[in-house]
Amino acid sequence: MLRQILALAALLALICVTPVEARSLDEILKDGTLRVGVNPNFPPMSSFGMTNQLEGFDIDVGRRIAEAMGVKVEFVTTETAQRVPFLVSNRIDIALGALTRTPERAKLIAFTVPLHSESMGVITTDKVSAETWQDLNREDITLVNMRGNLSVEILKDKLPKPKVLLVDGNADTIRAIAQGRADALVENVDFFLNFLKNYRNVTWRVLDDPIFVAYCSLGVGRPYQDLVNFLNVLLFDMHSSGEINALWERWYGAPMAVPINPVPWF
Amino acid sequence: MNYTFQFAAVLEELPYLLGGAVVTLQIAFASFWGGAVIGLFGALAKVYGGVVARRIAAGYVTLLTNTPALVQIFLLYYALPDAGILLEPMTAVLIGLVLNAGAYLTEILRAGVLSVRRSEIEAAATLGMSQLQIVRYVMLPHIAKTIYAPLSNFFVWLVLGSSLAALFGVEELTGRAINISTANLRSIETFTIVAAIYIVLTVIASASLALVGRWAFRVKAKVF
Repeated sequence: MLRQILALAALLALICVTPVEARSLDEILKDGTLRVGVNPNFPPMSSFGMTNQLEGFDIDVGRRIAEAMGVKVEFVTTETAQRVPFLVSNRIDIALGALTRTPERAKLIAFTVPLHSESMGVITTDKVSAETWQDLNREDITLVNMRGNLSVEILKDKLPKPKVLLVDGNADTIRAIAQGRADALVENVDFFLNFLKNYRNVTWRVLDDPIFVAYCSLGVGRPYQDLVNFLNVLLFDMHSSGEINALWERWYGAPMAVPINPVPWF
Repeated sequence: MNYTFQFAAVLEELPYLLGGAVVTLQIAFASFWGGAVIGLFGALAKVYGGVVARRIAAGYVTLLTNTPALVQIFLLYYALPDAGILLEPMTAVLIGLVLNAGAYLTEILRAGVLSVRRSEIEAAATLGMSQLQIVRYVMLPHIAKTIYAPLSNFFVWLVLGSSLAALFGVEELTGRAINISTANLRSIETFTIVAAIYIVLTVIASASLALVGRWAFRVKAKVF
């Protein structure tokens, strides 16, 4: 038994000393394929559409970046919690999927300038009496969220009193409220509105006084900076030409709640 | 290789993780013993029952062992509310795992019951043993020896399988590991330590099962 445990420990040690470094811009250009991480359960950012092909804002952005680089694009599906680990383990070159820029994440991966903003609001129903997000700070409230979302940590400080139910995907959060397991979701409202139409018999309410605004960037694996530089230049062009906003409006049907003002130096 | 391991960020959350390990063990124990009760009745129905009881038990085992536990819990957790039954996350997971374990334990216990030879029971009866004595001194030692190995395997499976509770908002070991790894972003370190905790859990579980087996039924089980 002891010997087996030692063997297992040795195997584990072997498995966990294999992180690799990300590819440089040159390596990607030479390979001819850009691996883009997208969340397949996240309409209208990216999801499998009617023809079972990936489509959405992130998909258009990913295609556009690959086109500018002159390489093919390969979409790799990642769940929310896998975005950073996939970059660290060099399974993708860039991560999309509304990756919020944070100092904690920046210790592990590199970020470009913002791609889009996200402002946190509240999705709830007529059964819950709350007019502002502060009204939710009660013990009889259950907030639903997704494991792996940054907002889980932020809300521990901002709304400490409610109970928290953590589910697995975007659709599960709305389903939990519709089925009565939870009272409200405090998250970037834009990302979840699409799921409300699945439950027409529920009277949904959106409280959109912004709790705070954050910025989502493209995540890039370390240590090379050249890909980040390239993406910053490209993103500046795409922002200043209005291309990103046009894509956003195409998929969300409305402009970004908090617009991104492109800055020509990084 | 350019990655610097930082285990400190995970080790400071060790009490939180160990709290999750307790929940993991609770799920495993509850579903094991709940399943054992169902399994006992299932096995008796299959071996000694009439046609109807046998059919019901067989149908139950076929249905539950041929669908994933995850799908069964999805049905309980996400489909039942549409029929007006709202189960708490822990309740749904426990019902799902108890029903699932019951099906597997029916088969494991059935093998045990079948391992007792009729001639031995008759011999014991001839010697004047009471029903209870026959069960305790003749049947149970045979059953324990036959089912000991599959039973401990199944318990270990339950300890590990309980990790699927994380998908339903139960804060057990895996769920807590995902929580802290999204805060500290040290996935490699977090899940390495969690894997180690699981190994410790299953080793302790196997060792204690072996001790119980040796002490109560003189099963030749290796403790270490």
